[in-house]
Amino acid sequence: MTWRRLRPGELDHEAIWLAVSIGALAGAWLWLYLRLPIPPCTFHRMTGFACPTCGATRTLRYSFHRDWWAAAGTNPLAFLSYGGVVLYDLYAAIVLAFRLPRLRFDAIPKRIGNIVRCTTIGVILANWAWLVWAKL
Amino acid sequence: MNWYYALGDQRQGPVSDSELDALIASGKINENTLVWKEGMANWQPLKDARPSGPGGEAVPPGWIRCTATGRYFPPEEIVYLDGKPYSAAAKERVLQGVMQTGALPGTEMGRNGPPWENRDQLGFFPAIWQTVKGCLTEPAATFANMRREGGLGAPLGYLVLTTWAGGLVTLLFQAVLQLGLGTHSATPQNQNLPFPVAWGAGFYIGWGLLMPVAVVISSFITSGLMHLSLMICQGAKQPFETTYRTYCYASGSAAALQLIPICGAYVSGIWGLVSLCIGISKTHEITTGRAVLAVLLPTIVCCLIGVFVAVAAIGAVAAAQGAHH
Repeated sequence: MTWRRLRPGELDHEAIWLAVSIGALAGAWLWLYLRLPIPPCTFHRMTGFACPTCGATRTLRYSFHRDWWAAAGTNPLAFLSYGGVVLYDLYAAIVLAFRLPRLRFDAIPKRIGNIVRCTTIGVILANWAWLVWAKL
Repeated sequence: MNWYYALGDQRQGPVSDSELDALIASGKINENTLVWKEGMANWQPLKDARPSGPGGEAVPPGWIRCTATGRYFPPEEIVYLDGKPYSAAAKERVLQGVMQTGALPGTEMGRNGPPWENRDQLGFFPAIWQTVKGCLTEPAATFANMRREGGLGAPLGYLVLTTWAGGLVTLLFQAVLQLGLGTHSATPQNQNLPFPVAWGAGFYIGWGLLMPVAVVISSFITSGLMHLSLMICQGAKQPFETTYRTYCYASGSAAALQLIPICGAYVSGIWGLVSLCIGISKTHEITTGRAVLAVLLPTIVCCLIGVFVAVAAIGAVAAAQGAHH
């Protein structure tokens, strides 16, 4: 993990993902504000069980209304992901505004990579189990 | 030494070694282009016909491989840009790459496609047509030739153009069918609006205008998730840029199929997935199975759980019937 300046021609991930996340959030807000139809979950309709992303829209809606408790309880992983996006956007806005060095993971040891990989899968499955248990 | 090379069905040449280097550097030919010169029994791919230094001789010690052309040159003919060696023969391509994308050109010998990347030479519409055709009918060859670096602008432009064109046609059909039949599913939920047709028409027009913005945002989110999926499957052998470029060309080409009325969207979805799996496997240089796993990981997991639930339900019903009897 290093803090360094962008190399010539290197992708500016901070600018890209800041713009994408703000655009996506603005689009989602507009969609919910206009109360446009939300496509139903095919997996839920077919099996009667929640899919790993079920409740993500409701979590976003609760978050827009600052009902944090309901948002976290509806889909905990989606709630944490939205929080992560906000934190990343703050970091990206600061490094872009002040032209600061960027955080980069140039070489991740294989062992660390495997731990992160297994943790990610475990968290997704645990969240899914919660969604099914909570009968979302 | 005079060389002849095949471009489409036409024989071109003769050209000298240095002219051949310039053709490689400009992206007009690559290491798989068939070449022939006097003394050769048959036409051969360039990489086999001229595997070493200029003129076919063995590479002298100390010579350096040019990043853009893949050819070897003495150190005094090499300049370093961003830490990578480039030869004088690559000057035109380097300048073009920097002017078009702000980045140094592709660093791999043999990867100079797809045709959209060379639209200045081919022309705008022929480049679109050849890219769509290549990605859909010869995805393995097209993606094996795709530059893995070179910026996001060109592939994004291609994706927006083709998806917007295809999406507008699909939207037009939906609008005609839904507004014509009076099933206004585009109106907001639980609302009785006084002018549903006008509201529906407004929705379709607004969506048509906002579509490029939605395409840009969704392209980053989808390819980002796909790259994450590749990382989980240990298939991310190249940076995010490569995944994004592959996604744009595969999905953009498939989106052009939406121009076919009624069934175009379905055909596009399936064909796009196939093209994407092949593309990911060729650009990340991983097995097709791993590429399919990465692209379809979320769907596969959901399907497996669905099958498990269905089997469990059938088993429960069978057990209940057995107990009843």
